[in-house]
Amino acid sequence: MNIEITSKVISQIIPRPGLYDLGGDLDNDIQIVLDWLSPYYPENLNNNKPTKIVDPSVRVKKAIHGYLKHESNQIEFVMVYINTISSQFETKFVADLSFLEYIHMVRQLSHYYNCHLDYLNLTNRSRMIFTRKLNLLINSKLSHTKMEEYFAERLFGDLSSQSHFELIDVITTLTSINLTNELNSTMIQLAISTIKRNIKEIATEKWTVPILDSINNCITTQIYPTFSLVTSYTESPAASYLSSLNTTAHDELVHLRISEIYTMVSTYPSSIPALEELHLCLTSSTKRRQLTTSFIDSMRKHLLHSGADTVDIIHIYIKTMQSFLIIDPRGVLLDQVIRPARKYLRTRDDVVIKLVHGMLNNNPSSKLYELAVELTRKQESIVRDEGLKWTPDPIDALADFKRGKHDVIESLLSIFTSKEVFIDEFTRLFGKQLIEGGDVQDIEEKLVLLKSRFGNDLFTMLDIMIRDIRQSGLYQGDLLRMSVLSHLYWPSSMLEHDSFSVPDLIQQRFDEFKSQFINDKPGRTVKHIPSLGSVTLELEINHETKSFVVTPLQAAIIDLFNEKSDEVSVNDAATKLSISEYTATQALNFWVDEKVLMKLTSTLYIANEDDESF
Amino acid sequence: MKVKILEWKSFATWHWDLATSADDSGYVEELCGICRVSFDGTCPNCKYPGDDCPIVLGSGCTHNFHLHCILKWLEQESSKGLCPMCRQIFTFKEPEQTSDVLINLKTLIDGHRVMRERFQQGNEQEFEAFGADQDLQMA
Ligand SMILES: [Zn+2]
Ligand SMILES: [Zn+2]
Ligand SMILES: [Zn+2]
Repeated sequence: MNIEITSKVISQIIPRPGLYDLGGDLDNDIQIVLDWLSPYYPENLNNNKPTKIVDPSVRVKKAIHGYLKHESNQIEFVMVYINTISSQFETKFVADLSFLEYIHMVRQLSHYYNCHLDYLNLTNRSRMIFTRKLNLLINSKLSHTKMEEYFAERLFGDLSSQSHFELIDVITTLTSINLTNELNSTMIQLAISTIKRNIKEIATEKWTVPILDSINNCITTQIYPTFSLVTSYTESPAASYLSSLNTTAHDELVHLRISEIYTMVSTYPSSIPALEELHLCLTSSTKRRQLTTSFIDSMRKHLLHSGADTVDIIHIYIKTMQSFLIIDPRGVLLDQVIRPARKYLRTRDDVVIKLVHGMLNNNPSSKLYELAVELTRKQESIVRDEGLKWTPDPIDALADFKRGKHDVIESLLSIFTSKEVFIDEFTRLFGKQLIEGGDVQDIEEKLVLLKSRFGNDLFTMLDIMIRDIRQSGLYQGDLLRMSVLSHLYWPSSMLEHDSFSVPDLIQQRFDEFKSQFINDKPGRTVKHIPSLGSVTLELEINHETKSFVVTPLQAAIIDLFNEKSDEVSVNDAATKLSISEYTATQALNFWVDEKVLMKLTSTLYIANEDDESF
Repeated sequence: MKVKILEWKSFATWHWDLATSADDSGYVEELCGICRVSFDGTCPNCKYPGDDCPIVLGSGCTHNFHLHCILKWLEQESSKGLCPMCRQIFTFKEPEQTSDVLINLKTLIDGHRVMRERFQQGNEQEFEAFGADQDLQMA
């Protein structure tokens, strides 16, 4: 309904009796007011010389007083007036203004209309209706995009005094035309996107240093001052904003960390600062769920597949435990994220051997060094102070959540229902080391640690094996050093070896040893295992002396060439040592590789000596 | 070329040298008739085999046992000093070196012999009255 304000219209809507009282010429009075109000849209706004508002004359005042006496008349007048202004807006309001030009325009228009209105003696209600409608007209010309752009540049930067005043000007203007809500929501959106951007810049892949302080600092020094400035003019509850801003920032950080969690865990312990801060910020159960889901997804994708090395899986398993206990010391999240890895590890048949080797490898460069460290840790220290005060199970704990099972080794061992598999592996590994002349003292020390984990009873075999080796010191003779094993207590695979004939000299020594043993231990005898052990020998060849530590079979083979310049055939060697030709060839080829023997034909070998020695 | 062996580190296994298992090819797993564990292992109460848990070779019969096992058996009155396998009177081959445990074993065996002799004397006196019962008990 576009009704232009004319005296004809006015006389139609304002009943005569009210105007009649004035005793004047009604149509003429209306015209007088309208003339004074015109132009209905100020002219020359652009060149800053807008239409001057002239104080109304006595005649105008009299006319106003005459027919705008009653509120109902005022309201109807206001409606028609605003309609008229509205149609003027359509044609005269300059589109394409910059935001600041718009603000400037708003101030001039408000001033122009409000000055006129001041003289109309409107009731509060009539005036409010006019103001509201005028604001709507002006608001409709605001480009929200331009406003956001403007604020995006100014809001959270340095507040120099000049931009500070400009900002206040803009804020008050917007507030005056009832754009407070828009202003607030723009500000909040900008604050959020600024926080997001900042966190992305500050926090992405930065896990080795604490960053929460700098995030909080950025909010207090960069974002909050603008906030409080704006809210001081918009009369919004500023105080509650600061904590909301902090919450927003923490949520955003958590959001970022959720996407990074797997890599963060893999870089433990250098990521400890980030993990600790995640612990502080991770408060909602939704985010906790998102975190575990994200981690499990990544772990499945990166680790729990046939291409991954078992050691790597265990390696990450340990880091996962350590990391998630920082994020959630109660172990609820750990319990959830570790399950897929546990389930997967059960499908790998080399887990036990890798764990056993890991626990016993004291080399800090070992990927599973953590296990060796854990093993040496005193058992007492594992019992943490969790038992001191009882708390109900956390609500997001799975049904069979077990509290306090946070020891790395304990957790890994519990993947398997029986400890026997580990004991067998320890026995095999130590047995091999003992046979190969490993440090018995060192093995005993490790065994003490293992016993404190697994219990004493399970290591009887190893105790006996160690005693066998310790007692072998009793049987040291010239050349031959014998260890006598209690055959029932060694892994049978270690003792089952093909036999062969040792050199006569060694056989003599063994026979001497045997009769000594029988003499010392009435009722008992010994059985030689020739292929087990090692031999240290020296070769004098081409006027040079070379030292070797070789297997007994290799020693027996080379002994066939002692002080002999003739060739030896594979068949000869095999017969003399009572071994297969295949085994003989292998041992002969060992010495060829060492350049001690030479192959004359495929079955004839000779010492690799210079001619002069013949 | 000269080959000079400096050290030959080698391994052997020890075994109880039982008459029945003494063949060149190796050893025969023989179990103690009481605890059913190999002689090269231990009785149920021992941890370390060999010196700490020796075996005893029967001389009256061919049955051998862990020393601790036969000791425990003979400590029971009801054993009557008999071999648990063949029920003959248990005697053993005394090794050159003796030990406290072997002396205990000897004492037990002697004790049983004394009991048997007393029992036999008593029975001879009451032979006429309880002849039938005595036959039963001896079986
Ligand atoms: Zn026994
Ligand atoms: Zn024993
Ligand atoms: Zn017997």
